Amino acid sequence: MIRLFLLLLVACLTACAARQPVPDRAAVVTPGAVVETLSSTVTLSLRTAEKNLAGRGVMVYRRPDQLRLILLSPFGTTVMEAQVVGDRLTLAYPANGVAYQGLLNELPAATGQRGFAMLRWVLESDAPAGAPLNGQIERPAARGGMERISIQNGQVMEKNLPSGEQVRYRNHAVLAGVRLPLELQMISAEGDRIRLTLEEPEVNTPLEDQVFTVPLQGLRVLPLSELKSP
Amino acid sequence: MSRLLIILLQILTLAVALPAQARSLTPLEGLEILRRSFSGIQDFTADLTQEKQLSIMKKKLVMQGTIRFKKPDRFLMELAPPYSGKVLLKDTVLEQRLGAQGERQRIVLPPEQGLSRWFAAVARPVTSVPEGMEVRAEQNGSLTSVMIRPAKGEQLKELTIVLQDDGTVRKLVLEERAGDRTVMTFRKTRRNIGLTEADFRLE
Repeated sequence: MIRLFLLLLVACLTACAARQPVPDRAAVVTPGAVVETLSSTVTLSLRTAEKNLAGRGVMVYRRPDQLRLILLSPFGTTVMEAQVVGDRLTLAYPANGVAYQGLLNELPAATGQRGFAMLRWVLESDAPAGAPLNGQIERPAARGGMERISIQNGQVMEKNLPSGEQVRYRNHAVLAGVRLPLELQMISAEGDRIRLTLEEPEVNTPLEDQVFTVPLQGLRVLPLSELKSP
Repeated sequence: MSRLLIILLQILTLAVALPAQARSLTPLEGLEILRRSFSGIQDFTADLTQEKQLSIMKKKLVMQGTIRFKKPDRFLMELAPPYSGKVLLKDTVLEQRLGAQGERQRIVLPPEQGLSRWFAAVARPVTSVPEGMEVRAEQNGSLTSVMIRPAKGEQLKELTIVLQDDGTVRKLVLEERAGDRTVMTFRKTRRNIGLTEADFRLE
């Protein structure tokens, strides 16, 4: 049944939004502006020791800790949903009639889905206050330990944790006065590589609470710790 | 998910083959006509527009592309830019390339999920409506609609196939239990045009 996540990334060439304004890479950054909300179609690829998969879907994010990701099949049906609220993660697989809920740190390491545990840390891509225009800084990380941040031209390009987790930010653009990376490359402590590409981002538009709610009616809800490898 | 994918492939193919009816159909008649129609099709192509209304986004998601099918076990979907990509299914081998520069991915499905097995099952005569399934059909002018409600507990709440009076599929509507809805509209549908293996490549 967890084969679904596999096939999520297998088959998810999907639906797409009507054309949106292309992020203006030359636009002026508004001082102090940050990503409060983000809504975007996305492509997601996963490369583990055993798998090499990719798919397309939709993601919404609201600072500081709410995220919902829907991955779609070639025919537009939902293959998988992920919701992160604070430290809680919900993964729903409607085709299999099952969902998993629990704390992020309960996500089994061998599922190839540990990237979800990194998402909140990954999405914090703003340069720290007082950071140099170019160079590296170290600071305490919310995930524990000291994180090392590489900055170029005021843009965070890479973050590393002592545990081996790494995220690289590429293809920065300015949208609504906010500079944001359109491509995020993650490497988990287990060596899994995940690449998330924003295709049609909208920044700081109002998002209603309901868009962050995963519909669980009709699904069997199990503890996240029972999630198995695809 | 793969089972759902295969079912949708079947419905797509059957819908293309189905001749329009000028009368109401019983569920069994509807399913049997689908089966008989499928037996007369060797291949088909169509242009595709897919619109999806997601609760997560205010805007409707729109995708355009083409699909191809060839008996006994070939299926190809090609999406147009800006969301270009291809999905190729050769019986149990599913390959895809996401985006113009995307890497090629390959997954081997279990034998029981192979396309040829599913279509072989469809070719068998229909003697009863599958348990838990509801089938309805109605005609409106030159269009015939066949509504199928899978058994309870399935992800799909209802599938609606809309056909033109020449038997070609006009529209396929998928309603999910969670409320999301996908509408696929087909144009330039062509059947039995002699597609070859060269028409089913990921490159």
